[in-house]
Amino acid sequence: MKTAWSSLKSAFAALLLVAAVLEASWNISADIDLRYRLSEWQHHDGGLHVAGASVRKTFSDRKGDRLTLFGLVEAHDNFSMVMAHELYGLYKGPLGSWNVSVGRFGLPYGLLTGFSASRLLYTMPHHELLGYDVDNGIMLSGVRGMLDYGISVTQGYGPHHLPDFSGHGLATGRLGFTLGDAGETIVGVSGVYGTTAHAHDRDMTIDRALGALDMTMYLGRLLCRAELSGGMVNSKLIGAGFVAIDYALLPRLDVNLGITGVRNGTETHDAWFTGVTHTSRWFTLRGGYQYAYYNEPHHQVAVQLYRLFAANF
Amino acid sequence: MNRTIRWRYSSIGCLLLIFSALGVFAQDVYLCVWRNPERTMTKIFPEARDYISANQKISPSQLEEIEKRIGTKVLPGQRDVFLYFNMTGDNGEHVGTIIAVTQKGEFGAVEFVFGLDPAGVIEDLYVQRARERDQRFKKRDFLDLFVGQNVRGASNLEKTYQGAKTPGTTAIIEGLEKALTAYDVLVLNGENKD
Repeated sequence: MKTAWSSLKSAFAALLLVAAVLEASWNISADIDLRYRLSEWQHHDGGLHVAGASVRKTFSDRKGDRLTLFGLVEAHDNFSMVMAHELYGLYKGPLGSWNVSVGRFGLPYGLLTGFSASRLLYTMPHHELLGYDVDNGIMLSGVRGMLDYGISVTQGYGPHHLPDFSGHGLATGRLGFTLGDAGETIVGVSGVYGTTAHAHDRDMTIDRALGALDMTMYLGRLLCRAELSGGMVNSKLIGAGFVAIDYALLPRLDVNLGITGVRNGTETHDAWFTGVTHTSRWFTLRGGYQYAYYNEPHHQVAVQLYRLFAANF
Repeated sequence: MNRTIRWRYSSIGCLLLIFSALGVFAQDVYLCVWRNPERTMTKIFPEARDYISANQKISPSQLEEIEKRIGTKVLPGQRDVFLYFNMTGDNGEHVGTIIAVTQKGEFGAVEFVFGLDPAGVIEDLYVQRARERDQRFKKRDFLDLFVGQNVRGASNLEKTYQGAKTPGTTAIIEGLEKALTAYDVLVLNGENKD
C-alpha cells in the first residue's frame, strides 16, 4: 500500500522532471494562511492554518494543449499534517469538450467545482456530505457551450489516507449550466453514490447517496453562492444548505456572509458567519464573527492574515 | 518545548521569512486567470477545433518598449510573461488568437477576453468578471466599438469611445491597448509599429 503510493509520487515527480527539461514555462503559486481565534470569549489559539504550494504544467501537440500536470501540497494546523492535497494528470480533448483526469482531484459536486472555502473563515458542509473535497481516481469532465459536466469514480479515501486498490468506491457527478454573456449565472445539479472511509480510520466506511442543486450569481458588486443537498448518509436522512454572499463595499473592502446548516438524522449543525475582507497590496486581512446555536463553540471571533504568491515562469 | 513543537514553529518562522522575502513581489498581482476558457473561445471562433496556450517571455527591453508605447506601467504579474492562445482548425492550422486581459478596476480586477483574426483584427470581445459599480462597460454597444479594430490602431483606441469615462470603460480601453501592444511587440515583433 505504502509502496503503491510512493511509486505514484515518484512517477509524478519523474513526469515533472521531464516537463522541466522539455519546457521552461510553469505556473507556480504558494499561499500562507495565519489565524487567530477567540472562542466563547475565553479560549484563544493561533498559528498556521494552512500553507500551500502548487505547480501546473501544460504540454501541447501540433493541434492544441494536451496534457496538464498539477500538484498542490498543503501543510495544516502548524504543520501537524502535511499532504498532497491534489496531484493529477489531465488529458485534454479538442477544445476541452472532454478531459480525462487521473490522480487526486477535486470532486465534481455542487459548488466545489469552482469554489472552495478552505482559505476563508467560514466552512462549507461537504465534510458531512461527501467526507472529503478531493479523492483519488479517474474523472471525465468537459465544456460544451453553456454546458459543463464532470463525472468521477474514486476510491473514497480522500486526502488523509494512503491510496490502495481498489478502494471503497465513490461515484460523483455534476452537470452545470452557465448563463449570460459574461457567465453571470451558473447553476448545477450533482449527485454522489458510494462509500467513503472515515476521516480517522481508512477501513471504517460511510455509505453516501446524495443529490444537490447549486447556484452562483455575479450581480455587479454582489456575489452570491448557494447550495442545497439532500439524501442518505449511513441510512440516515441528511439535508444541508449553504449560502455565501460577498459584497464589495469599498474598492478594497468586502463584506462577507456565510451560512451553513446541516440536519443529519436527529443531529443539527449550524454556523452563521459575518465578516469583512480587506485586500491590501501586500496581503489579505479577514476578520469575522461566527455564531452557532447547535454547535460549540457558540461564539467565535477569527482574524486571518493571508498572503498569496503566484507567478508564471 | 519538545522537538516536534520546536520543528513546527521553526517551520512557520521559515515560511514567514520566505514570504517576507517574497514581499518584494506584491500580492496585488494581475495574472490572467481564465476559468473555462473554451466556452468563450468557441463563441469568438466557432470554426476553431482546439487551442494551444503560449507563454511568451518578456525581456526588459521589450517591457520598456511596451510601456513606452502605452504610456503607463504594465501591472504586476504581467511584466514577465505574456499569455495568449493560438486557436487551431481541423488540421492544426492557425485560425486566430485569443487574449485574456486582466486590468485594474475600481473594485478589483476587470477580466475580459478578445479574439484576433489572423490579420490582427479584433473579432469579438467579452467581459468575464468584474465587480464595478457602473456596469455600462459590459453593454454590447460599448464593446462592439472595438470589434474590427486592428493591432495597428492600439494607440488610437481611446478616441474610439466618446461617452462618459467610468473605471470599467477605462479598464477595457487600457487593457486592450496594453494587450494589443504586447502582442505586437512580442509576437508580431513590432512589424506594425506605429
